[in-house]
Amino acid sequence: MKLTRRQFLKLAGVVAGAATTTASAGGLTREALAGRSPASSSLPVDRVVRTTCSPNCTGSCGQLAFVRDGNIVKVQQAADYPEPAYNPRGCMKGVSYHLLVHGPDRILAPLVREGERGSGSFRKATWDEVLDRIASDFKRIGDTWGWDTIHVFGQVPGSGYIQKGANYRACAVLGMTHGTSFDFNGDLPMGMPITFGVQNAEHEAKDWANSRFLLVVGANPLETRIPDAHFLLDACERGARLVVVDPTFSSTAAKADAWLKIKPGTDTALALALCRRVVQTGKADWDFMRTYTDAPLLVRHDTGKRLLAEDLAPGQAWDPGPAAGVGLGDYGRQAPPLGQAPVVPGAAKPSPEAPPPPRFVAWDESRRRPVVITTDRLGLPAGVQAALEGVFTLRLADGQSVDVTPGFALVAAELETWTPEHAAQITGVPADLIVQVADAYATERPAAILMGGGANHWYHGDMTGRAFALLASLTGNIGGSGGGFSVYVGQYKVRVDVSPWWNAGDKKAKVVPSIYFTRGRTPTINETVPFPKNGWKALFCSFANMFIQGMDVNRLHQTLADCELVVVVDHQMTDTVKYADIVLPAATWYEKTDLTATPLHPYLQLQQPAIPPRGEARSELWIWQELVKRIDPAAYEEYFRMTEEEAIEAILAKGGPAEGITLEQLKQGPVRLKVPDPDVPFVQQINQLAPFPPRSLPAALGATAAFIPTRRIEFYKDHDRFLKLKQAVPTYMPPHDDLIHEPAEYPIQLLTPHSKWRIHSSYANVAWLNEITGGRAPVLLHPKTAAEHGISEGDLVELSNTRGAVRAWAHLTTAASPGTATLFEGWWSNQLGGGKSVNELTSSEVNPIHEVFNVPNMWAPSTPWKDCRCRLAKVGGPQTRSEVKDA
Amino acid sequence: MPDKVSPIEALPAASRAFGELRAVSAEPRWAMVVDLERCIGCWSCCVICKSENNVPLGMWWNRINTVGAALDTPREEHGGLAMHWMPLACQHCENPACTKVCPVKATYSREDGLVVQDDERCIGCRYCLVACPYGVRVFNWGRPEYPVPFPMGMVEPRPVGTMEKCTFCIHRLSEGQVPSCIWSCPAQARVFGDLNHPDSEVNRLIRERAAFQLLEERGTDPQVFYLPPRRKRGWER
Repeated sequence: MKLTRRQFLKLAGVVAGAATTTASAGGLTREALAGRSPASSSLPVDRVVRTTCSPNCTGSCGQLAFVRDGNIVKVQQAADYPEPAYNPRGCMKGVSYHLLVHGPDRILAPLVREGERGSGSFRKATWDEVLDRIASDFKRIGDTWGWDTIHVFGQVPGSGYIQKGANYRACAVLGMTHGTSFDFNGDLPMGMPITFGVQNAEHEAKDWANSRFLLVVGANPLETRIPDAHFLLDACERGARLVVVDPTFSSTAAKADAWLKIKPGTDTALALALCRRVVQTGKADWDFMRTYTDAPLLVRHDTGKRLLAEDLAPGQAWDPGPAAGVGLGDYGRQAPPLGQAPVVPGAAKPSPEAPPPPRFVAWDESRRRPVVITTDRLGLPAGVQAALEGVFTLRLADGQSVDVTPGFALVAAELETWTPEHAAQITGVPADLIVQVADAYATERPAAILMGGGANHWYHGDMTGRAFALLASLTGNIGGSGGGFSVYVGQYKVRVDVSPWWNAGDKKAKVVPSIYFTRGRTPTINETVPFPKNGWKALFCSFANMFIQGMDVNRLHQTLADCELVVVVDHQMTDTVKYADIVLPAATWYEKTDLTATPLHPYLQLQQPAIPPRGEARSELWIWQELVKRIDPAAYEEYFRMTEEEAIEAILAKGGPAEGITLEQLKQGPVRLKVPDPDVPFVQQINQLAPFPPRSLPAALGATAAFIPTRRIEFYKDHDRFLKLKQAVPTYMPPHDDLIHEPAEYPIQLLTPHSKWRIHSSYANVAWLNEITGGRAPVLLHPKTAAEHGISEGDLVELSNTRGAVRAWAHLTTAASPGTATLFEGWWSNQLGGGKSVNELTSSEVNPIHEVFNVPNMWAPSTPWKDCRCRLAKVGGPQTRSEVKDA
Repeated sequence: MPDKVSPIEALPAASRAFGELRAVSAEPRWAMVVDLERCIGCWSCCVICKSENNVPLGMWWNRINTVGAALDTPREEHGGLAMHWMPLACQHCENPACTKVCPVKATYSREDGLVVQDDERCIGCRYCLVACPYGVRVFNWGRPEYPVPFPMGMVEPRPVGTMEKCTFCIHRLSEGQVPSCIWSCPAQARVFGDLNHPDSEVNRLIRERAAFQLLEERGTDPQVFYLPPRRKRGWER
């Protein structure tokens, strides 16, 4: 590529303009500084401290803090991972973190509210005053309404097992209700627990480089996974094909071989059409489907339920006995000897009182009779040719006869309708492109699917997950390097056994998904959710900008209005802090000790203090120690006289994936957990025929295994609610908000992607980054959409629906799809032209499917951020922010 | 106050090894290669530059341009959309335009190829700012402002009224370490090394990857080389 001078000047115009925008006056006064020949060495520092940047971006990047005279003068990637591919981890946000530690928005003392909530009017207080007040208010509220009416909300615990774990431990000790973040954040990919029985399961990022075909769906790793984005580029350098599915031409789309410009919320239709094409062209891996999935298991026509062996008249089915499964084709080569059930790590010994596990039935074509399929081992009994289609009439134990059909036949019937042309109509992706993508995905192996929040953050995002999981399974792209169906969302992952720290002896925190804090009880709530009978009376919000960053934020504020006490722990003066009654100044992760890990790479790492907490700032652990001491001195003695390092030692001592790792090792740098290399999920299932699911920490295996009674990859769900809502098989469901906001009345689909300039709302106040972006929020509009609404570049526009309204400035680009408005989430209110945040508009609707089970953060209501329609109107010209404020 | 130490000496061993200059000859000529396919437009190189060199607010020694359009906005090309990013800092030209116009020889070329700026000599006339065809020199107009109330980074601030620009982190080179932008590029899109060493990575990339220089026709002969974006593997439609 060569640029002519003309082209170059056009590009450099931006630069030259920027170069002369520096401050005016000052003149040419010359401050004489000695010795101005080029420096031959770096200025000295006091020390360099290795720690980990861990703000819920999932990067979990080793950083070095350079300390001089008690200040952090530089943060730079540690680049010390034993695997060079991971070096250097860290982005422009991470290396500017010292601007937050030492910046103007830092909270340095406890604060007590003086004005109205939200006014931001506070007075400084002592720790003793605020701790005494919180303790006495907690006791009063606890004694009056019940301790469970106090909701403790903290952000994803993977970002810090010890400090965030202290919240759990305190709840276990005192009886407050702990909230959730993974499901509340909409990141819990419900397609995973429904299909695989796991919370989530993803390939480590370095494995992307091993793919031959990368299908990126509703994800933008170039902007939101900056430390890992290069693995996509590595794959492309090795000849892989990169295909990006996104309504917007994103940075990742710019690197792709093909961009599938999809209508928002229609990803499931695309996936189903891809599946159909794989089946139709004879490229499906039926050995995989029969060995590992519920495809061959028979379903009763009369009830829609799976046929159980005990349903049948005695003697009708062939019973090969326990652990009879063998893998078809090349699958399951490392399985234990026949008759021996592979042991899944973390499985509890079956109790003698427990009912025996269910036994299912397949139809064996070779014997022309049903065969019993047990759940103790994957695969099929030797010689069984399991039918995947057809209707069979069987005799039941009560003498009646019943028609049954293999589960896959029901899935296939749904796929049948998804011709490329039909899918093209729904998705807007041309039919011939759908065919080309399907053919390439099925043949360029291994092929990986990387899904992100853009596809998951929908009311029916679970369906999208189920449909892409079907695509990966149909092609046998599960459990091997370079393949997989991975959903990258949130730093949720608990990779080590945290029970010695999160639980207080046998006592565990009571957990209520935080969506029920926003919405209260839903009519379809799972009856095992410990929703407080007196509702919510207090909130303790730690490290979260919840009051602008929670979805449907005006509804959340209604709950807040009922709260007698709102405590916020933070280190920056966020919008949320302004609504607090009491503000506790928090230590940043450059000022305390913690233990952290991420789904993106399997390294366990420490956070180590580079400097003492600034001002009066304190760690979460210290705060809870002081509160518990005041509320229940005996409990303090028993459970909270513990340092961070002791808590880490206790977790490491539990072994498991942390086996052999010592605190001393962690102090030196990152240590790879005891996991496969590359870290790929389901390896034990695929290689050893161990039943699904692997354990999702910290839940007991049994809790998540209940999600998939067949202990196989399940595409047919026979739970009553799935049947009633006609969601037994992967099916396209139109966007839910269309039912609330009639598209004719609310013609704009609102998209709220994550920005590369922030981690949600963190870093929104970093001066350097705001110099790049201008520090005010653009709304991306297609020029056609803008013209229809009389909007020009830079105009102040309002987005509104029945839930709220927000204002920001139009930026016209054909990167946006017509009919959409894109306002990146995470801007603070002072960076908008009006409104609290874009979350005045977003939805908190609960999908009843997500309430079938209640395992918080694993099967719980996942929120539909992107499922949101609105109106668009011009409200002003391209004003500056100060003009808006004056108006 | 504890005794101060060199920030390079104080690095953990693995980190220090990561940043070591490799394949360096007795008389190095420094060069940088930027892979435009690998650049993801994240500005990490620019931000660490600010931090390393204590560059005041409003000034950038290193920037990312979104080629042909506004920040992170694609351009229309061949009936579709296209976007890539071009990091831009001092090109450390072999035949620089800036040194020729400096009336006081405050900016000059060194044996190792670096174009350096002596801010003791600089009189702030800004001829070099005008002469530089790349627009990468910035001027210290007023009392510098910083986002924190103490000096950051690893070098002294420049006096008011002088020119500033990328130094290739000259203070790090002499300690055997790559410039900070090279270290901090999470996309591994930047490579630094010695043109005079036959086995250097920069030589290999320039040779094998159709490297080009910006405004080659101007004869400035930059020692920053760019690798072009790859050809896509899309489908004929």
